[in-house]
Amino acid sequence: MSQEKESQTSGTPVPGVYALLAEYHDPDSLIAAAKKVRDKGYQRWDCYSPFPVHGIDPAMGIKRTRLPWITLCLGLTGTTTAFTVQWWTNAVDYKWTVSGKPLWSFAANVPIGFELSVLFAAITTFLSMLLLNGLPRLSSPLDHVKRFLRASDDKFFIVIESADPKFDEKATRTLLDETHADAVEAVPTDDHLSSDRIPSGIIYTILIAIAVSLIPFGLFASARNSLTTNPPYNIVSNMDYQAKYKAQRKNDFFKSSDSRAMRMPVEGTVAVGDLRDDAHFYEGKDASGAFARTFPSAFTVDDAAIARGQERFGIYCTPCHGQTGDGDGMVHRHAFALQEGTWVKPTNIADPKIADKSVGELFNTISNGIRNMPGYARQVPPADRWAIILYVRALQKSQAEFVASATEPTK
Amino acid sequence: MKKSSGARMWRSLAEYENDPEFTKYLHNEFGTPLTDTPPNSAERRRFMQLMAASFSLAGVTGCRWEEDHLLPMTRQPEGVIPGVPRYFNTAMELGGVGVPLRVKSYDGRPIKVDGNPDHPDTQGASGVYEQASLLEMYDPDRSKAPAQFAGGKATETTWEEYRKFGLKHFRDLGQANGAGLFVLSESTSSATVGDMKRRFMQSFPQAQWFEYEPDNRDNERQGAKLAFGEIVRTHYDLSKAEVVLCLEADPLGNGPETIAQGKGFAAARNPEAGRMNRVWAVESSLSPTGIQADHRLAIRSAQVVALAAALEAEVAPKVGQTATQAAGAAKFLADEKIKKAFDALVKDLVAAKGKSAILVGSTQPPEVHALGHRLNALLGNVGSTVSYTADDSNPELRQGLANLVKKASEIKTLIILGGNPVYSASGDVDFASVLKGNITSIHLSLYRDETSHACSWHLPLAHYLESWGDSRSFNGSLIVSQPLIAPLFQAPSIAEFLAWTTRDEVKDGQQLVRRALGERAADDKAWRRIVHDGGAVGSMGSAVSPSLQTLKAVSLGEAALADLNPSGPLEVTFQADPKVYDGRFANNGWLQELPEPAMKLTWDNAAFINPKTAAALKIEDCSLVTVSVEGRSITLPALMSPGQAPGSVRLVLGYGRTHAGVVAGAKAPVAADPVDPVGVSVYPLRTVATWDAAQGVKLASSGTKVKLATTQDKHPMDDIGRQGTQARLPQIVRQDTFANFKETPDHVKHAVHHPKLLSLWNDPVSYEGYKWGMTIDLNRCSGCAACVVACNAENNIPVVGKSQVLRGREMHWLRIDRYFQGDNPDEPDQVHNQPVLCQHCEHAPCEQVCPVGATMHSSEGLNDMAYNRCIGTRYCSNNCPYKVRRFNYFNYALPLTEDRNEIERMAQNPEVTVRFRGVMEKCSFCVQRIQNAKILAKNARRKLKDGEVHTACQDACSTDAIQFGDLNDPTSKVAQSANSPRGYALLEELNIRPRVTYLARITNPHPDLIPATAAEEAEEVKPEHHG
Amino acid sequence: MANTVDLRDWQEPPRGENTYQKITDAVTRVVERTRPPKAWYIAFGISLVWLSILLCCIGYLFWMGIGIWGNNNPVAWGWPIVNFVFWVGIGHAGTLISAVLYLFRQNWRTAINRAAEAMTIFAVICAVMFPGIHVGRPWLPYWMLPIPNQMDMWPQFRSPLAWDIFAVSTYFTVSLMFWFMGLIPDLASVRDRATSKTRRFLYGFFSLGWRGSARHWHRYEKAYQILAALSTPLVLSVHSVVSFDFATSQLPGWHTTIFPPYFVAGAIFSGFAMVVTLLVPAREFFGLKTLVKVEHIELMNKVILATGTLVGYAYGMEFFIAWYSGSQYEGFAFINRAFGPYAWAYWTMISCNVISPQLYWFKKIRTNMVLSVIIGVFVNVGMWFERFVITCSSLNRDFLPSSWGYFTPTPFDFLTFMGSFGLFFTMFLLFCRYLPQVAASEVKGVHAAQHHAAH
Repeated sequence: MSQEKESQTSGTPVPGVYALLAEYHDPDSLIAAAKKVRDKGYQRWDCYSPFPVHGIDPAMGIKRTRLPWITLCLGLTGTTTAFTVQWWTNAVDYKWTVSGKPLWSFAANVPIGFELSVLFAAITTFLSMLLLNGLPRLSSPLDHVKRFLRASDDKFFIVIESADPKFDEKATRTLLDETHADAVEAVPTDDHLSSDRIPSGIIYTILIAIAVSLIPFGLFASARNSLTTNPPYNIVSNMDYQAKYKAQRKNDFFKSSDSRAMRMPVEGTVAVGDLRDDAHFYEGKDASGAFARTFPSAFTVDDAAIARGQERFGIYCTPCHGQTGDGDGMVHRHAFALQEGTWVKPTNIADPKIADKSVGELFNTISNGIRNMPGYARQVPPADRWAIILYVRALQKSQAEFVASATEPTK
Repeated sequence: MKKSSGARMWRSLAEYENDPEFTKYLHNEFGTPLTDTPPNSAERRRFMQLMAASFSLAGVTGCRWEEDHLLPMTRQPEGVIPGVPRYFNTAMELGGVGVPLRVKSYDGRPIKVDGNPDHPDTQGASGVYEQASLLEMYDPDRSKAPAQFAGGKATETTWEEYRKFGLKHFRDLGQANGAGLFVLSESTSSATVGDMKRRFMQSFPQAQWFEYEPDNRDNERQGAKLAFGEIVRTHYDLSKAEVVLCLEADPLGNGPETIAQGKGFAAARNPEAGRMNRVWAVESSLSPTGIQADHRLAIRSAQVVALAAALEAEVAPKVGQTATQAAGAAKFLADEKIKKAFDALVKDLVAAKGKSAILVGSTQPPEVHALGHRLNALLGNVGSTVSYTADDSNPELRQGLANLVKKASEIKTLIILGGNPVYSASGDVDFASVLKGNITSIHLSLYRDETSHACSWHLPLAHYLESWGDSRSFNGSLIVSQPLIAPLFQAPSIAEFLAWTTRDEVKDGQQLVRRALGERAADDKAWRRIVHDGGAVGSMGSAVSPSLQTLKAVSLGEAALADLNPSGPLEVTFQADPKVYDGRFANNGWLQELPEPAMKLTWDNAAFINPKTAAALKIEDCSLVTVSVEGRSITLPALMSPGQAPGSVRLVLGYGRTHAGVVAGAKAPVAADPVDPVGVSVYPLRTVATWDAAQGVKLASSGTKVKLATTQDKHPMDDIGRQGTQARLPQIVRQDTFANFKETPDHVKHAVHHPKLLSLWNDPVSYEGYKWGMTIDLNRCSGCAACVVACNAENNIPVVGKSQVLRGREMHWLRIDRYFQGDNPDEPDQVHNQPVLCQHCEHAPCEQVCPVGATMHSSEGLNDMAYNRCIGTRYCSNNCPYKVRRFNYFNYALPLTEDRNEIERMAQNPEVTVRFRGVMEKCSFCVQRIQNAKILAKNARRKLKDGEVHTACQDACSTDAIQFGDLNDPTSKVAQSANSPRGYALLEELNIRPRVTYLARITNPHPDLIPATAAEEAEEVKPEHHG
Repeated sequence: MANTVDLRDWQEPPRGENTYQKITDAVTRVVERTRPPKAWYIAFGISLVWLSILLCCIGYLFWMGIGIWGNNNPVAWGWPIVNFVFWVGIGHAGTLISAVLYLFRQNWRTAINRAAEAMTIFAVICAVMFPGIHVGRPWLPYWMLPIPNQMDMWPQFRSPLAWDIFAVSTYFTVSLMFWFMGLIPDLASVRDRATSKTRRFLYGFFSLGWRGSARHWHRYEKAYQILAALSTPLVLSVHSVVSFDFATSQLPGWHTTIFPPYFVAGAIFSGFAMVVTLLVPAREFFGLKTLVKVEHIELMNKVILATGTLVGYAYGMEFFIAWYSGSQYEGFAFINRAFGPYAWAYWTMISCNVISPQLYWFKKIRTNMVLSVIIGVFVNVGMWFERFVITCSSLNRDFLPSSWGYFTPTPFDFLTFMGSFGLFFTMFLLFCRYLPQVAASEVKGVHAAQHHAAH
């Protein structure tokens, strides 16, 4: 508050004199003196004592501070923060079920609610005490008055600043003399105090400390715009790398062969369900070993199968053969645009040559590939291959219909 | 139920100890801090190798991002899609019996082994050995190249070198008609090997061939010979049997036939359907069957014969036949408890005439088997529950090695096809010295083991997942194994090796098999089908109906007649280990860390000894004892084992390997950095004569205590804890008698009194889509732990080593809790199994406490774990009432990143995260499988059908104890079993709504033997209603 | 002033023309001395050694993972959390003394509040360290803060741990400001008495140019009042929230409604004990007897007696409720505590926390400095064990007997814990050396007031 006053009114300071200082030897005389000064209507003055003197506030006319209110507000802010954080993190942002308990419950949040209120309130109190007192204020003209140093020891002082509008060196001095001060002294202003520098040792220490603390930041900075092929640092690997082999990983145990953790099945072994004794279904061949002309019994021909076939056809075949199977797929068009010399246009599956082929042969083609068409046995399981063939048959039919209707002379 | 909870429940012996020494241990400050961390000397070395501690933070590699490569196939075969798994039927042969399998192949690499669902012998289920064989295939300690050994020192060499040597060597032998050429092989049912053997003998007429198998079925075969004069294989259909008597037989344990029998057992134990057989177990040591049995008599192994004889003497007259045996004179039969049970047993068997089955264990002498056949015949079981098939396999496997050694002087060249005889030779057979002699010895095996180091040549052998072969499954059907991957180290199969040695025109494994199968496989199509089906469908062994010969009265030895006085005569029994079998799986981390079914022991073997006997001999728990028989002796820790017969000490084979690998132990120079053996080998104690059990044993305690890493009772139990356990156990493992169940089926639902379970809020999610849930039937679980290994394999669960297990940091997502119940610690009235995994609670306590939301609930009700989000506060684990969450205290997956373990990386499931240090993990209901299934269904635009999603544990379970599926689908198996009247939620009173339902155990005690407390329960059965 | 200093020199009465100056002198001469007493050097040396051990442990921890500690399944929370709660508890006395006693106009507080507040801050620093390093991936704890990020990864605010973060950090910030605010006037007087420029600048800088203006004092006092008013509920809330970590879980032995008041009482209990333990030697070595009088210590001992009795009551009540609840798991948890494998820890706790403070019924003991320190230490040992018992003995045997286990600490557990003391004392000794240990201005105020009243 005092600071505010200062800013309000400032009289004409006497050059060279910062203030007048009066010394007393016990609290009572201080209080008495303070009353006198107060009644004279001085504003920019203050008392100094080694401990809070009981009854000085009324004697000086100090108003009650508003500190408690600030504390209250910030305290409540703490409470709100606590509850908001707990509610938002556990019940909104990341909901999780814990012991089958409700996502949010008041009771569980009380402890932290309380703690944060206290924390906020306490910090506020401390800081605003300093703030309102204008602290820290490391140097003041008073520091250079020898006797004033005992203000923190055993003496009591009244200081009237020369900046006070009522200040008049003579009048003020007499006033103070009247208060039975043990001594009255003028305090010089704080402009020629070369004597009181911060000790160089300390300055250097501080500077060095700052410099050192900057080094890591420097390193970060340099690291940011430097290039390296090394993988990043990872001091504690935790569970980033585990002593096991996931799919397709490297395993140095097999260095001598191919370093693959993934091993080829041993020749002649048969996995469960991989018996494949139905030649018709798995190879498209009938008993005689010729390409089968019928769909295998293990494969049911129905709408679902066609639908499936259409879907799979869309995935695996259209890129080359195109939506309608006329061989005008994306890949083809692209290759054509690039004028790939070796490129052969994919077959039009509606082509009668194809339409006449047995399903078995088609199955074989899809499985093992033909010309520059690769085999699809690995990607497409047999049932799906049959489904594709079924759909291809449907396509062929529809195309044929279309051609027929187109060539038919209109009546 | 108040009264019944008075029945004293307790879990381990430590609970009953009250000596000052022990109390001091209980109350000393913080136990002993400095001993086990960091683990000392050898233990630390193993620890280091299991999790190379020095680079924990570095993770996979240095401090930069790794470069990753994608290497697709250039010519991708039809039907192969990267990342889409394919399945292959194949088979694994163990002890001469083939197990039909279906193996998952990911990118052409085997990634998971399961039973072949289409084969009656497995029906999709599998055991611990089959599950773990995957890790064996990818074991970095496997032999990678031929080597020559001199004085145990290996000189690396090549196949070329060997060929150079072999061509000349065998040409010379051929000219000498193979004089001095000896072959030692494991027992096999493979037609191919048989065929090759024939051809081998043709090219080397004077060669001699021996077979040896440390764990064999000679007794059964001899017994059959005794009973029928011919060797037959006995098959039991437990699904038809009303009364099952197991004379030290373990149909639910680990054995070639157990999977099929487990299915039968399950079918006969279905109280909802009103089917409930009664199982009687007579055994010297606690077996999975004993755990599930309704009545269990713990007597010395040597006394079983006396009981069987007495039984015959009792039963025969009752079915109008003359007994061949004298009435029971044995003292132990006079024991009041035994007597009562024995009479009830006789009654029961006679009553269930034609619907009973007497099973005899392979560790019992031929006489008992003969008596078993006799009893089955008397009771008219043959044809209904018991059937026989022809069996042409070698009945003298145990003498094999001894016979060979007898001919030591003649041996010039010895070929050892698989097996590890130097390690597994019994104490009276000095095989090692044969190899020390001036002979050429060639050893084919997966590992460079003890035998390899004693031979002059070692040649790597192909794993069954890498090679073609065939075998006979237990029911005698022909099964074919096809390779899942080309051999990793260019190693041949035995057949291929023989083909090369005999300079056969056929070299390729596949062709060899086809040739051996002859007609069957001549036609390509037929062959393809056989390979596809994993064998010739319906090619069962031919059923035979042998005629029973009149038996002589068996002569009973002193041990057989003794009483049950704990300080009476001592015996030791030798049994194949339920984890590492005869030692061949010793280097398998999954199996070493698997808790042993009875005592939950990991990373060790011990002398399982009855506490009373121990007390009589002044032997303390976990103290070293010296076991000596006829001058031979070994020293190993003693483990107080309730349920062990008084005076009987159980020893398991397969430990104390000195040349196995970094897991099981390896001396230099086998491992650059030597590792002490896990456990102690008990082979030296055994002789051909005392193969299964030895009498006249002496035990001396040295007093020095050692640490045994058990996954239960990590800390000894005091009175408080014991009473606490007693009080709560009836609510945790609920059970009821069949009689009560029929009266009031939902009785078990009222075991816990709690107010109506209401929720304060409405759940924000209504699980409308899928609602995943699981049921676990305690009435069927045998505790065989196949599910645990299956889970390891499916979910990349790390092996942490003994020091970490001692700290209580084992990582199993699925554990099988074992509780003893009974007033008397030495003879528990009952033993319970309870598989516990994440219960996926709808109101999961773990979720609400995670500050970063790393574990949350999915819309399908899965309790999801986001490893990448987890920072490891471990609050969730604290708040989990089932303690099923597991935390990566170290970077347990780190060893995988070392170069030497490159190959082991291939065993990791690519679909599951390999967790990093500092994150929490737990059962995910195999979410990766759920997702895969959903994707397929979605592509086909349909909803998932019941049975399309299996969890790994469910697949492995041979008794169908685990059901998984969609609870919203009322027709689903899981929904139906969840609605069973005996269904209950573990700790339901916490109102956390677990998605796992346990089906209470229903026991079917014989009316004469219902204990008083149970009778009172029956009185109390009044369904209470709570408001 | 004499350059060679020994204890006798420190015992001499403060110089000064009047009481005010004597007070100033008594407080600031510690700061102004060129060299502190040998005792200080020895103590500081030891603290530094432990501090460096702590740093090594943390380094190793980052490298290896928290498996180096004894934590296991089922005891997933071991010593780190025990230590965290222990330190937070100690961190309560300071603010309580300065805030609550201030509001109740307890003038005697002025003698001890500065040191107590300092202790609070250092204790809280030690406390927050533990949750930070105990997580499985200690480079990621910042994920618990609501920092906006492109992946919408937010904290899960239903988790008591999330509440904890806010509670403890708020508590730390507020305590720090409260403490610093109190320091300002005294820093000013050090500044004004300073003989060297550096000293003058530094203290001048941190005193923010405080000159004791009456207008400033007016707002200063108001602010101080408000902070006090805010800290009072805060100090109660912090340990309540810490107790929620346990109380909101459903683990038998944790799932208890009396935890908040019980924890707060415990916190004040241990806090005061720690203040006594620290202040008695401090007043010896730094000649503050004139200011920190025996009555002050006695008053604090009374508080210790009161809170100790409260805590004892809570222990009893826990048992009663466990029995009254009718839940067998609850019942077992407490029987197991008292008579199970951790009985030794439980009875250590009882004898230290419930029995030893009862000695304070006797004025002789209350006013005996040596005994005060001893009992203070006992109480802190006891309070550490209380947290240990709550954490470990509840976890080691919960619902399913199959997963029962036992917690065995490793050497690293010990070293890290001791190291945290190294950190604490390093900071506290630096404070003793370079900052006014007593709020001189307040003492002067109180003196003036009494003087005034005397007239």
